[in-house]
Amino acid sequence: MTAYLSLRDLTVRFRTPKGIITAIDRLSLDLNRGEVLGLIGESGSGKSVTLRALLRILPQRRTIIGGQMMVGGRDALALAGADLRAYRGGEVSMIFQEPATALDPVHSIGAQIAEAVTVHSGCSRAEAMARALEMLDLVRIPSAKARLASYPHEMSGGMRQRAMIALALSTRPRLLLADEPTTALDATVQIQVILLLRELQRELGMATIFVTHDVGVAAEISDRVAVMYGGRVVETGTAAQVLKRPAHPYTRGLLASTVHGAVPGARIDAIPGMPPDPARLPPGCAFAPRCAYAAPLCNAAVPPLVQGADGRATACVRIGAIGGAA
Amino acid sequence: MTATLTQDVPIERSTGYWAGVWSRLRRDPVSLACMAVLAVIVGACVLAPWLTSHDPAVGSVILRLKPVGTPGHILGTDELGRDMLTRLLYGGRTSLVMGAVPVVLALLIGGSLGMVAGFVGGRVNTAIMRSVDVVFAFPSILLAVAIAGAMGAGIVNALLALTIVLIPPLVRVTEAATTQVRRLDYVEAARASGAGAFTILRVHVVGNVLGPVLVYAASQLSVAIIMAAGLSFIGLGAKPPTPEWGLMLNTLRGAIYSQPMLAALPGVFIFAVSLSFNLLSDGLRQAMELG
Amino acid sequence: MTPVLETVGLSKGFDLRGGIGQPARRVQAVSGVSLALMPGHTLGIVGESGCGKSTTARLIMGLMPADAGDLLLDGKAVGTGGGAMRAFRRNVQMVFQDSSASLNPRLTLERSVAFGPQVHGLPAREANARARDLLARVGLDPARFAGRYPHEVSGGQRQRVNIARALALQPRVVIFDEAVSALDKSVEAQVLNLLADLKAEFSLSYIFISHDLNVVRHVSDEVVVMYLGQVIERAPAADLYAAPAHPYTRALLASMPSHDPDRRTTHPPLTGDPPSPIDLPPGCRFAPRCPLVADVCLARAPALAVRGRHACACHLADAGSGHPQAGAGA
Repeated sequence: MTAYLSLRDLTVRFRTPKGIITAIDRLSLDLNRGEVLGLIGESGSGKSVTLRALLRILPQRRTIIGGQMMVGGRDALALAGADLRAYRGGEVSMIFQEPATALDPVHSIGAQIAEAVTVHSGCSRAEAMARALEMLDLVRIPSAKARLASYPHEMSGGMRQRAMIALALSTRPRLLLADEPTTALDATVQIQVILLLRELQRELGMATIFVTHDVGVAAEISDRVAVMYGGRVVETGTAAQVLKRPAHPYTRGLLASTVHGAVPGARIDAIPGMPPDPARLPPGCAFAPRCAYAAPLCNAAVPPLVQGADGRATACVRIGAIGGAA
Repeated sequence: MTATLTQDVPIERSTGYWAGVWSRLRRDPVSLACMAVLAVIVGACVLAPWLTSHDPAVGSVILRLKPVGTPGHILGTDELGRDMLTRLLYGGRTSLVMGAVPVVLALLIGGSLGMVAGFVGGRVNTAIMRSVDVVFAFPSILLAVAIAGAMGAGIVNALLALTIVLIPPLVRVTEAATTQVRRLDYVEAARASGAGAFTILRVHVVGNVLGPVLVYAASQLSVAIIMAAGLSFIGLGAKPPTPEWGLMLNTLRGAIYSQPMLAALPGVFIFAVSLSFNLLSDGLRQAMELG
Repeated sequence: MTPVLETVGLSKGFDLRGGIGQPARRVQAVSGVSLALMPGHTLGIVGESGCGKSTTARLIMGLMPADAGDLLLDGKAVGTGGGAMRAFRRNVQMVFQDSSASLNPRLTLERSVAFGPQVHGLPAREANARARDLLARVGLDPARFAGRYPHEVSGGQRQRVNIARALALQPRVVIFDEAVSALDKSVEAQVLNLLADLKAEFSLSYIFISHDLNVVRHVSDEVVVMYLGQVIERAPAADLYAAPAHPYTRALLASMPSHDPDRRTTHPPLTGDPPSPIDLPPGCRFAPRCPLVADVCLARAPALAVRGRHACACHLADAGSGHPQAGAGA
């Protein structure tokens, strides 16, 4: 079975007054239908840029995109005009981090969902409204019929996020992109939204990429996990593989430095240094300056993502010396 | 042992905020052109005595309305035979002063009122802002005409009228900016350090409010120049024989059909200066956006 | 042992202006909050949106006047006059969440840190020297960072500057209001280590406010849980996380995402959103959402039942409350 989504050597560069910055460097990923990929990374890792590249909403004039992006068998980079408009929001949909700013404050929720449906399927206003009601029920918003007329500011944070999910799913996309959708939510609301997304994803069979910086959230929702650093994928595998038996030094460092596993009161095993500046990446491995296992070999060239035996891939030339997976 | 950072921000010379604004402004071609135009015109007006040998007040009945390009009078002569270039340069001094002084005064007075209103809030804010609203309700140019008319013609009266008219919008802009800044975390932190209101205003508020206010004041300069010229045009500003661009537009009206280029010259200068200030204020706004 | 900082019955409400046909409503942000911070300890405060934890921090710092309640420093009441507040602020300082506006963009980092001491009378040269010394202590080389501006450094570095600024007045208590929430996880770990080092070095006591339960567990000695402006549970950190008594605390702890992909959460512990503190019902404020609600909960607000060092405001914990399940395994 060919993968639904296939990225090969995707490279995204931005033109800035200070020169050309490489935000994503030769990214290769596969995603099957109905699979959830958790994309973990910190600031500057390129995870959000990846989503925006997939949705084709990066600023055209400033962006240079290279490589291949196949979505549902079509070349997504070659889409233009009406095809592109049908693609964005139709085939692929995105949920953002901040529902307050992602929803239009001057239109009711029902109107926004209905508009999305009408644009993508061309059905009548009445049918679109019925669909909107259906969606609000699907995301378990109480009193959905009354809520159709509500405005974003009249709803609480959790409800707004559900409304945004309803909006994103109203066009029955086959690829769902989620950009840290639960980061701004309270803990009790976050777990509700995560469970809702998991259930809907399974029910509707969507391929999903879930970007987060929170390892716990990734563990809850992902089938597979990819870890990004400095614009590159440094490790992929199933969620259990990457999160319970991390191989790459960065993944190990990240998991070891989470407060979750640390002994209360004791020193946390923090990774020294800071995430790299995308404009000033080191010549070889981006993580080498902070890596405890770094050797001169690491600075020679960017380590390629090497497929392992059990379906995992790691981009580290010192993997053998470290002793493989923990 | 505290954690030290291994990969670090490279050592570059850190530029101050205004130095950064200046370097960005310098690199914008439109702003650069405006600054060049203004430098030439304002510089020429300031250096008028050294650039021309004619007396702006002395005319000649024979040499009336000579066209542009006349030997000895590069830009021609006006309806009383006075050299146009000289009149324009000396007139520029008057016009520029009549435009700039009200803006500076309004900035000082209006800016202070606005900051107090924004920072103190509550009833003081209501009192100041509603009083300003009353003045604001009058259309600016009519108000300027009314005040100048009531006080009589003359440059000083015109300056006063223009200052009064320019104060309300500056109060508004400053108050809005101050209200925004007052809520920010670093102001809260300053209060938490135990700083008094004056210290907070001086150290934290003024510097951060100055940016948007200066942008607005620069755009007001362009308006003030036109209003000053307008007042002089209808006889409420500079009085003859004082050279002033607006006044010159009035006195050269009669020559519109015979010497259109002469009649238009003062207007061209007003236009150039006003437009330059306007575009410069836009460039300044863009240069102030950090990062 | 006297607590270094104590609040008794702190309350604060805000009035929302009514319109035509709409009565004025009151937002009771903080109701009767009593906290005690022991010397050398870290008191963690957790809660979700609308619980009043940030308002409590600002009330303690005197950034807004309280409606009721007392503030005690070393057991002595803190006056409300200007002089008393200034003296108080030399002892208690606050670190805000990193935002683009946590530092004055027009001041260099050194000047931002030196501002506080200068306000309290230290001459400029000494204030700057102290600022540079503190920047070094928080891990920022003064030679490189003193002359920089906030927009030129990263979020983690800005937070270090915020910490240095708070320490510049040589306080005894530092309040951290979501101070690490906006940071990347790896940077957060560094900053938490730094805070632990500084606490030991300068003999500080901390109040640590956060919505992140993991972080609070890691840094705190005692933890207070707030809901809709009230303290609903208070216990030593280990006890709270091991045996939470209040149904809300249990739900909150159960809401933490499981870090194990093989053992995922199957049901949300709590449904709906945290309400806002407007038009509060009589009785227990958590009753509308509580899975164990009984009639007595809607009628009467529970008092804080204390058992040893573990206090819980729930009828379940109070054997004589009239709740059908009271006292049974609470």
